[in-house]
Amino acid sequence: MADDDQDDTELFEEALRNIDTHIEFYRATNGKELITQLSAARIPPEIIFLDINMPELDGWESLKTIKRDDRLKAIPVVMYSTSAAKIDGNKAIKAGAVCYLEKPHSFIKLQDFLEKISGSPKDKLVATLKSIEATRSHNIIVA
Amino acid sequence: MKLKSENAPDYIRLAEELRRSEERYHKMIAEVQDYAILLLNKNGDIQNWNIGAEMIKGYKASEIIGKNFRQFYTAEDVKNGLPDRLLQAASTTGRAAAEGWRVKKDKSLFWASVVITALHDESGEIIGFSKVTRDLTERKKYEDRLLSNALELEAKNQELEILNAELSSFAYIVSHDLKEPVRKIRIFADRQLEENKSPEENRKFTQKIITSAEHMQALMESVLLYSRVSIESAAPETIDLNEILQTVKNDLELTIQENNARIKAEKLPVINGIRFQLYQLFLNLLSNAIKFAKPGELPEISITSTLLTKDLLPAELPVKTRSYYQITFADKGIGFEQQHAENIFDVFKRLKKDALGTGIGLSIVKKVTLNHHGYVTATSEPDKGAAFQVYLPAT
Repeated sequence: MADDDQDDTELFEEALRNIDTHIEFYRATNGKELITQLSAARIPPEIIFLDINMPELDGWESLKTIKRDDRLKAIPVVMYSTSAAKIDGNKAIKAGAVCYLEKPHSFIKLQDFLEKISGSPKDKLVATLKSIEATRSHNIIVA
Repeated sequence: MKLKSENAPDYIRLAEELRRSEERYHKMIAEVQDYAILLLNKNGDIQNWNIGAEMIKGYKASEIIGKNFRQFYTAEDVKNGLPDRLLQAASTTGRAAAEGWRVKKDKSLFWASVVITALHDESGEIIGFSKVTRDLTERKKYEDRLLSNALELEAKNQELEILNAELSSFAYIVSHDLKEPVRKIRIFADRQLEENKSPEENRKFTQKIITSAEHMQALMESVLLYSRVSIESAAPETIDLNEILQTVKNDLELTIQENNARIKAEKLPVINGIRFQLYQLFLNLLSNAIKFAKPGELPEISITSTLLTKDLLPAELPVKTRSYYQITFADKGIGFEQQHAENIFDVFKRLKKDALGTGIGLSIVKKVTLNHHGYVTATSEPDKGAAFQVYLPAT
């Protein structure tokens, strides 16, 4: 996960631990750090969560870099942001993310979401994310 | 002989016809009202004058015949040798055409369209010039008005585009930056309601709620301040920037003391401006410079001022017709990468996540410079300090 907001990464990690203590979780505080970590990783991660507004390298640039890298481009990416702007959601899918997730307002919701994806078999992960993406609210007024 | 005598009346008739034709021809020229049609000798001295010339230029024939045509030109054109150049061009190429402001008898100007044609004798020697002038002042005024309307329209369009961009950036702010602390307050309040939470954990959540609420408050205050700087326009007054700096230093006294900040300033100029906006400009640049000092080092800020003439101004300045003061705020702080030098002025752009800042200070600085028909640029390198160049019009 790349996110410069410490509260969010802590909540995220705690929610993950509550579901499954065996999940390996790595965090980067910006896109640049993420790319360094990914290049150094012996085994690439199974899923990447990307915040949009980050210093150094933001979520959009990070996504571009990942999608250009042959070794990384198959990893499903979830854009994870506070922005409820529909334009961001559509932009994320266009740029190659599988799913756009607005950061939830409750810990339970976050846990529910993480349970859904961690419970999905590896070969069904992308399909699960796509079904979550399909339910993304479309009643947002901010363009 | 016989033949001749038989034809003598024909000659007389022909000569008479020629005389009449010449007279008609002279009359035609003399009475044309819309064009000044003159004959000049080789030196440009006026040989004849028609009604058109009188109507356009205001002189009577008796006042002007024999004078040089240079007197129809402005002093500047004469100094630059324009009348001589036109005669020269007509001599070499046969014809010279020009449009420009010319001077009437009453010293008022009219927009003239002029064609000067060289006249030759049988051997090809230049014997003088014909000069046809038309008064196109009305057309010129109309064209100028069209041009100024077009420019005004373009300026209005640009203004609208900027407002639109601001509006959509404001919508984005609401959809993102202002939502973030609310979301956190909700999520941590929610967590306080979870069962089996220790008092320590609940304290931690409360603290996070307070921090988020504080951040929310700071954001709202910044947005309000930004909109105040954007909308509120007081009448410009004469402002001594040394006084503004002193006020800001007084208001920042505690911060300056706590951080042991050193502020070195040259004598600053007096300009025309809006007081509370210039106060905000100095306040934001100085508090940023103090805030972004290198850890463990004392903040050192220098403020210098240079008067730039119009040929030395940066390309970004909207108006380049006057001189500007370049006021540079330089610090020795953590700096930033030059690639961010433009977007640091965007609303809510923060290069470093930092609880102290809302990311709106530099947007206010930029807005203030734009409101004053100026500009602001930044130069920096990580760990090498930053310099902000503020351009404000000299009065």
